[in-house]
Amino acid sequence: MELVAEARDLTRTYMRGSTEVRAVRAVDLKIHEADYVAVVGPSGSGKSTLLNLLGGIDLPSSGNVSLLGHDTRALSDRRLTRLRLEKVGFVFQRFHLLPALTAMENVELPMAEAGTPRGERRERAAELLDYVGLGHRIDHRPGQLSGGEMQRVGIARSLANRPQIILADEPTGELDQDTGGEIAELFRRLNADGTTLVVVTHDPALAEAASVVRRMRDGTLKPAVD
Amino acid sequence: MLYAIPFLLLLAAAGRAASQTDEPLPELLLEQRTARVLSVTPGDTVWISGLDSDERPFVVAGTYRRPADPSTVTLRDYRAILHLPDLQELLGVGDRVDRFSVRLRPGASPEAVIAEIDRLAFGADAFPSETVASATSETFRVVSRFHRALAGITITGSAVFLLCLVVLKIEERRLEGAAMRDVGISRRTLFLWTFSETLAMAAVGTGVGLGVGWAGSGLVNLYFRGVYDTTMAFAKVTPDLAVLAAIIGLATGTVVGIIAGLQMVRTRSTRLRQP
Amino acid sequence: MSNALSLAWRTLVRRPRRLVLFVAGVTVAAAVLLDMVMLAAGLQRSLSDLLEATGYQVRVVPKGLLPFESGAALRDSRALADAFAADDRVAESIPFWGQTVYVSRPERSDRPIAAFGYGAPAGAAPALRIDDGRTVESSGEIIVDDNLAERLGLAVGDSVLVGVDPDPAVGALRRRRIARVSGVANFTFSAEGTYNVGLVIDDMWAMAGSESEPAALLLVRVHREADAYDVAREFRGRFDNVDVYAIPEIIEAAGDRLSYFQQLSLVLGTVSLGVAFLLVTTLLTLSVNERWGEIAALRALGVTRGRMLTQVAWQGLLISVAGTLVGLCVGLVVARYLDRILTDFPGLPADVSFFVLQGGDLATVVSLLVGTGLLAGLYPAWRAASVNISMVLREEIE
Repeated sequence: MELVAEARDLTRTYMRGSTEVRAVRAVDLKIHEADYVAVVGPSGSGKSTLLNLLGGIDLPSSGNVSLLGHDTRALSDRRLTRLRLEKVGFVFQRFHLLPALTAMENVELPMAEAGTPRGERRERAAELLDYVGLGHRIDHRPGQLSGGEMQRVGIARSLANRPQIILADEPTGELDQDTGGEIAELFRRLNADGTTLVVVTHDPALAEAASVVRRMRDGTLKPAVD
Repeated sequence: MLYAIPFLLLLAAAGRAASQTDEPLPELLLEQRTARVLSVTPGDTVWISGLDSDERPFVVAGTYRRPADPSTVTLRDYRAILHLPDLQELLGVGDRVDRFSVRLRPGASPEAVIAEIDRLAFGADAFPSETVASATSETFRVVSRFHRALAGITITGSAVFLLCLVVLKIEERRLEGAAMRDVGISRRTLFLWTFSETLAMAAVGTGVGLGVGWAGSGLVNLYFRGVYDTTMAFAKVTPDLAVLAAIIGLATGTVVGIIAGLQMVRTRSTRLRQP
Repeated sequence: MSNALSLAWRTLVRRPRRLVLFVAGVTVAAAVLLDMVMLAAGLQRSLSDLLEATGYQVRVVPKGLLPFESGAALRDSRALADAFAADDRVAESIPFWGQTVYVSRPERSDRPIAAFGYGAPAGAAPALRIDDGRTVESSGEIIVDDNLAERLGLAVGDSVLVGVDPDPAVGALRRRRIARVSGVANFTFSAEGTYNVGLVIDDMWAMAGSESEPAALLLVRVHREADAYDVAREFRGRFDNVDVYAIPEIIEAAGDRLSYFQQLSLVLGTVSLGVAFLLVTTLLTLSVNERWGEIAALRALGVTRGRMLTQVAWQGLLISVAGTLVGLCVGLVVARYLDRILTDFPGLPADVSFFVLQGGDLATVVSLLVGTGLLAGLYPAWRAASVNISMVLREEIE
């Protein structure tokens, strides 16, 4: 299977006030095509930082990240941004939908940024919202949607430009158990359809659906558990 | 009475022979700017003529500063003060003046005197001094009205600006306010908190504004006194004005504070939490 | 570009009350700025237009003074006027004089009315808009203004008693004459509520008992192909005791009398620009702060720095443009109100305005405010574009 993302001896430190925080310490990780990897661990273990490094949102202090064959440290901000736009999908704990836009428009947004023609992107956005079960809510704004519905829109948005990998940071963190279960089921379906997923989570349902579970503690990644 | 009447000045060089007779030359006073332009000093001789008279020599007895009169401060005319008989003789007008002033005995009725003068004096009108003062101040009454209009505009603008800033502040603190309500802080407390903060902003702004206004008036006077070569005060911050400005500033802050406070307490905490 | 503009617009209108309030703030600033731009040169423009309308491009006045600044006069003005007229470039040169005269109807015993009397050569009609009849063309004629005609019930052809130098002892004017009304006119430079008449200047001199042919100023009209500036400059050095001005030079010389309005315009105009800047930058900074997580997410999704910067800058521009458009309308209304106050100045020609709008003024205000809006949006736009994505996303969760 093609290697989609790889971290080698990855370390990330940053300052919090006057304290140095070693969020990620010498992490090695390989993500192959169609993998569904769950990274679990307590709060402050460095899971989200690892995800940000894999997605090119953050850059390592040492070691390197190869994302779709590109060393993230070697790319300019513009090229890295473009890479994320075209090849990587993100799902956030707090959804981060634009409240001024409808569900449809939120899903369209990455396609508009990539220059997709209007007709084509509207068609795809409708298709994606249908896929996540929100075909009847396309004209609703985030303020009119439930938490679970907002996260579904977030997932649909992450799929907009047909990414090669989706990175989800605590996608059910703001949701109740039942809704979280629905999202977990959606992720399972995504992976079954061939989408590569890396999910950072506390949610047992999400971890259960993953093909590989890695535990993270104090910035280090424990060996894989299938 | 001595009057300054503008007239055409023909000036010869100060060294020109002043008089062929032994009689002392008549004197006049030159306004300071006029003396500067003509480059004469006290003791110099100047030659004055009227429109239809020959020029005559006068000795400059001294110079005087134009009084700080708002109605004449911007004029650039040339002025001198002569003894009245000298001026009448120079102009060939006989026993004629443009105006005269009357001081009444204690107890005399100005209205009665004015009526009598109006009855007797053809071609002349009598006025109380206050009326003359008022009429010559019309220019500055217009300026006052203009300034009041500008003040109204700036106060309106200030109120809008303050409201803008306060509304932003309220929106910034929505969640904070919601949290306070959740833990049991009363609406009254929340209102007073918002109101007093707004009022404090207005009070500080008022205080700073008074300081800026006072300093600004000093700068205005410094500048325009230089431009117009006068001792006149162009801007003055009086205690009454300062109090009025403070009242307006604080009243504006009060109104805006009430609006802000009401906005803060009227929103339900659940709605405050919405994105 | 259109995507960023659309997003900027949608983000702004999401909070309509806040948007209206800030546009109102920029509106006030725009209105004040427009009024100050109009005021800065309004009086000069208005006076210049009035002077140009007389048809005389050059004025000759007693040295060191401006026209009618004092009672000073030029002696032997006719000879002086002839000296100017002898120049090939000069089409006409006339003396002009003014003094208080008293007018009454000879058949009535009413007290004479004091009026300002203008004297010019026969046939000349400087600064007059004739409503009925014609200007004075010979000795013994008089042209009156509308106010006086109404007050005394005068028509063309009527006779009036006009004189100077009232004598209280005999209750009559020392020097007076009968004059026939040749016309009724609007006197361009007359102040509101005053009475004005025009006579042949020789009649004025005779009434004043003056043999020195005095004039307050000479009015000089140059041929179309001649340059008024050149004429003024050349004659300036030729005569003692006079100053020679082309119209723009008069306006410039009067500059320090009008400097108060210019200083006021500069100060208030600058303050309003500063306030507009602060308003826009404050709103946008807060807006960016509110959307920090959203901005970080957008950057994570692949929105470029440039796009982020453009979007925020568009917000600043939209607020400025909206406020400016409304502010221009408000400013024009306020200018009329302020002009009505200032034109009450005593002695000011009724046709003068302080707030005069020229096409360039609108362009100046729009470009200043749009530029301010752009500048004001720069800092918050830069902040948005420079967001530390991972740090913000991390803090959102913590």
